[in-house]
Amino acid sequence: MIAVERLKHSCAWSGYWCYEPGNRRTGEMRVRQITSKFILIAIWGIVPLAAAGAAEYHVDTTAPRMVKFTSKAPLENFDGTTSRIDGYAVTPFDTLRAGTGYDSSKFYFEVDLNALDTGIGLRNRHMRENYLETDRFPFSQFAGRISEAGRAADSAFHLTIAGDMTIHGVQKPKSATIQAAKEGSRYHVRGQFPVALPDYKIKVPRLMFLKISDTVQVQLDFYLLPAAAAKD
Amino acid sequence: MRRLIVISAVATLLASSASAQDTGTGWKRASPPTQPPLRLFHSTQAISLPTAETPGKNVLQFEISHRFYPRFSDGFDYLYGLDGPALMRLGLGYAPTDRLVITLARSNFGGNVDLQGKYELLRLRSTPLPFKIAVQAGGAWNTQKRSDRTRGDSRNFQYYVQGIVNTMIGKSIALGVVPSYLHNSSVNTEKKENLFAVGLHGQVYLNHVLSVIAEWTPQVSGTEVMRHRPASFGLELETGGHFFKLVATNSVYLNPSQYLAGTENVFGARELRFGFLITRLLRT
Repeated sequence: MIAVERLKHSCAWSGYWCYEPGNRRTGEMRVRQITSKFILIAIWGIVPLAAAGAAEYHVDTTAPRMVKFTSKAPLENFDGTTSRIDGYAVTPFDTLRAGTGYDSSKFYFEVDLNALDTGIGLRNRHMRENYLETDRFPFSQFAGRISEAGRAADSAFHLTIAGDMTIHGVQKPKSATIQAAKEGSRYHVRGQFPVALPDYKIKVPRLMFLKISDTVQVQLDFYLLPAAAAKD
Repeated sequence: MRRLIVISAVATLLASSASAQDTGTGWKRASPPTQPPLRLFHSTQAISLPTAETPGKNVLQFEISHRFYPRFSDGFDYLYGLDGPALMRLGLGYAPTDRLVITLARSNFGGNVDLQGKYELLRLRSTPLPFKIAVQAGGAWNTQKRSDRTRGDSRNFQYYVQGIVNTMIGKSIALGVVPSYLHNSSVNTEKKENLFAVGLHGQVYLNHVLSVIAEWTPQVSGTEVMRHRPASFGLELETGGHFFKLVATNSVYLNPSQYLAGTENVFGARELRFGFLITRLLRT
């Protein structure tokens, strides 16, 4: 799949689409050139990645998952939780390891914001309709790559992940430190980071009661399962 | 050569099917996006009439309401209707499930202690008009001491049942119809009378905080005691877990077994009185 991904962005790809059946001579020349390029690139693409042993992991949707935000304001503390986090991570190695070399890693996680529950139906409604506008922006996304990895214990790592976070339709660069601990074939992922709501153009109500803090703490807790084992 | 073209074409097809997922991986969203629950009215009640909404599982709802006896038209000497005395109602509701709420409330008029349950029967996500249907039933015990009977006399008990049909036009106009049946509509009469009323109410949501609200409860039968039909209108403010309702009304009665029986005041500018209602939702 990764090889295909590379091909997709190669010039061979666009070249193929340049082939015009109407202009047979040019087209045939073009195809000949392209085919050889295609083979070369296929080899170039597949071999190094296969040798590196890239590993793809999916969020284990059968295991406990938790995303929780906590708001601390002078009058009222509250939190909202959901289990609806999903996504994947690809690392260039079979298993995580400390150090660098994560340039080709990537991850994508999304949270279904309509599933967030604060414990009060009316507050959920306000959150969905007045602040997160989930009819337009139903998901929050975090996509990027692993930028640093350090070993915390034998098979536990602290990772810095960096990329773009999208909430309320606003995309912002974001980095966070998370923990990943190997448990059997899975990784148990936990992390916590602050999210400043005004950065994402979420209007914090100020008029009558200050009940939401500008910055909420977001906690993540879920398992990553090797893609081969994840059911599709 | 031709074979190579075929191979590359197949590879292309494979690649494009992979790119349709847009991730370059084998990942797919495990379950479809969550659909939020259908909610029409924001509050669990209009002014006195109930809506089909319930607070949601494990939520407590505290309520305090006042209706002032003096009229706005009584002017300066009665602070334009803000002087007492006033009738008041204190209530506490608990929702053991997402569809049920049990409320215990007391009004100081007749020491009316009211225990009721409201159950949401049906949510219909139909277009263009979504519907919610609920039923509310309860009993009231008028606990005020009287010389002519004991506190536990059966004439001090009233029972009612109300059907609730709500709908919403677009995102900002909500409407409700509340056919209501009340047994023993007047605790003062020897004979227990039955009464049938049809509550009508509507609300226009102007923005996230403010809405305009109105209700009218005409008695269809059994109106001998109180000749006039209660009508109220006002503003609703909603912030976090609170609702504030500020209303003008021709009825000072608060509990269902009381407001359903009508009012002694005609609906007109001279007879309007001030009332308010505050509810607070608490997570248990």
